[in-house]
Amino acid sequence: MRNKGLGHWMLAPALLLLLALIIGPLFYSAGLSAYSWNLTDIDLPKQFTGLANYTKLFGDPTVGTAVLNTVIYVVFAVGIELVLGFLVAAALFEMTKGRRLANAFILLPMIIAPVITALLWRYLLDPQFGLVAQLTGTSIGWFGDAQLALPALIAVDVWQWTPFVILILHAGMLSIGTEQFEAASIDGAGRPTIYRRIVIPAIVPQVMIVLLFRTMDTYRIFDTVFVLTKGGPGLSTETIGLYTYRTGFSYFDMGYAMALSIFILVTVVIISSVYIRLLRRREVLT
Amino acid sequence: MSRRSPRWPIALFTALTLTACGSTGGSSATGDPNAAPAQPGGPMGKFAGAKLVLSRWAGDPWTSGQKEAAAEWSAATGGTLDLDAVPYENLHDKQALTLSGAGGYDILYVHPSWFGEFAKAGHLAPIDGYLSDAKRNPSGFSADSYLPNVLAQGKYDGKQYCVPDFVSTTLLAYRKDVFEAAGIPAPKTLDDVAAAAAQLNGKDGMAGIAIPGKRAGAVADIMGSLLTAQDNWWYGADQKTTLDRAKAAKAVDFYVKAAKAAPSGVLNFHVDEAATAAAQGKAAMIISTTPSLQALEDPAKSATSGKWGYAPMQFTDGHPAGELIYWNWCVAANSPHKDAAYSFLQWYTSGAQQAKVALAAATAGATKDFYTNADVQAKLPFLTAMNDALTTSNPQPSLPSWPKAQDRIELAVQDAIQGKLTPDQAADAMVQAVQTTLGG
Repeated sequence: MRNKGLGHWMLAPALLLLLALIIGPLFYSAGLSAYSWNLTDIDLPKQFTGLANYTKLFGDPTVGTAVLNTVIYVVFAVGIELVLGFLVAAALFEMTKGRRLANAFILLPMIIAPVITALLWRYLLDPQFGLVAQLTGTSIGWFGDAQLALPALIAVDVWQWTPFVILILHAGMLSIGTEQFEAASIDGAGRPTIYRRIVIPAIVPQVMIVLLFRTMDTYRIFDTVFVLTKGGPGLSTETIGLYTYRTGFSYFDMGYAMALSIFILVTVVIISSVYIRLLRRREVLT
Repeated sequence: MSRRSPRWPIALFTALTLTACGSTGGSSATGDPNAAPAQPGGPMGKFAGAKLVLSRWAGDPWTSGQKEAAAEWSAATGGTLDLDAVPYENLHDKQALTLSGAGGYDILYVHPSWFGEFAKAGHLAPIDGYLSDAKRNPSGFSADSYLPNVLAQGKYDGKQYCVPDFVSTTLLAYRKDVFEAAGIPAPKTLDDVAAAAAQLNGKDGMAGIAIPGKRAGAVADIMGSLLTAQDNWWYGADQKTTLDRAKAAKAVDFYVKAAKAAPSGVLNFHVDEAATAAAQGKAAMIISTTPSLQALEDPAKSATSGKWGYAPMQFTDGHPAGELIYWNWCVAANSPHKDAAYSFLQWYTSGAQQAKVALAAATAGATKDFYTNADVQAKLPFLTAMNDALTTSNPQPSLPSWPKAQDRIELAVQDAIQGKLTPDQAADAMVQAVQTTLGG
């Protein structure tokens, strides 16, 4: 006989951990966002301000700029990573020899910490002493030019995270049954047709997963931007994650920083829900 | 409705940590606080059994250098001094929580931005009595031994609470050989600097001047010096803005002219990038903070060491200016070992001890004799110019709300450099930013 009570008790530790580590801090942050609280005045009591921080958020021009920069960053970084990732994954899929070695090399950027990646690119693209400046004989201030800084940051993200896309898409391609390719060959289908009719439809779930993970990750981008540009020149690379950090730990305006954090959380949840819904619809269709 | 955050877990943790550090707030001590040093230049007093804890930020070579100094002081006085070094970003909160709780610190390294808060809360012990007591100081040492403008920063409500060190400012450095070869006299005023930068820019693959342009604090430091050079400052004693629009515009105009003659990518240059470019012969001049200028004279890092001349920034000849960047050493009000704490601070901030710090870390002391020390002069050839700059200097703004104003000021300078704003418009943006943040 099943013991329902025991089952509930066995769930309790996991639920308690979830409550303590995720739900609790989340509600605490949401609560703090309703207060005016400056970290430099920790002896002063917090002032309850209701939704004032959220009203301020929607009227703050820096938030608008930061969100726009973030959206540009997400769209271009994820888009380029997806296209490049697909092309490299397809090339790997076609390889008959050396696939493992190629895979190992391709994955290297992904295992480097983002801060180290940022420092690496900072030195590579240094306008005076960087490798790119030395090889090309140019002196372009990639991260010091308002027009170039955001594209340069996107390039760094593409360098580091395209391997992740390759890994997932390549795994998706390898999971396609060989009988489908054999049947296509018998029917006289060429490689473009095989990719259009078999490979791409088969890896749509992997594409959706890649989009979900990379969108969430790039939307919250902070570390590489902080190391490489600190949001500048001007506000040209100010992202919403960086602005939240600046508000909390430079301006010490913790209540507003919490409101910005909740804004990021809500927007990420909305974007993720769209992806998950699309993914589920695909599963239902197939 | 208001609510106080629950602070007891942090206070408990802090107290336990301090206990683990070996602090015994009520430890018994014997000795003679007036005892003369056993060795010339040694610390005053004997404090057998006294166990002190010093709170500071963690960072080498300063922390390890101070550990050595603490060991030397302990050997000379019989007391013991432990360092509780935490990351800078946690220092204020840890000190504040400890001081408002059970205590446990005897000596505090206090940033100017929270000095007023601690002094007002009664967390710091006045040290006027110690400074004026000949028996507590080596022969000839008193409050007059410190640079008056710097020592004055440790005063609150007429009482002296702290003694300073870790002094730095902003300076101009120029390549003597390049100026000589081009037949340009050494720049005296900032107008000379702007003209020379334009003339030398692009010559032999060299930029006219390297200057920080990144929104990371140094731009505001330099802007502060440019305002001080015009007898203007961001705000007054009442914490209301005193920023003069025309003087701010003149400062921005200089910044824009300098940035036009700077190496490519100047808007992403912090002090280190500017110093590296100058040290490697990529710029004929540099304006930066003194710790970063030390790289120019380090043969291991610089291809141009020995070729630099230094001058304070000034719009008018004979009216040098700088920004006063420093830290405060203070005695905790609830320390049971105030005599011993002062003994350490007097000795550690003296010219001889600060010379050791300077030779290792290129930061400067705050006593007058430090600036005439021949060994330090050789290591830091900008000391004379630095001393000149400090004669007319304002301290880095230390208001809790300042970081936001600083960010907007730097944003306005960047926008002016990019041509999005004219110097007048940038000045307007600054006035508005300071007014909004500080009021007035």
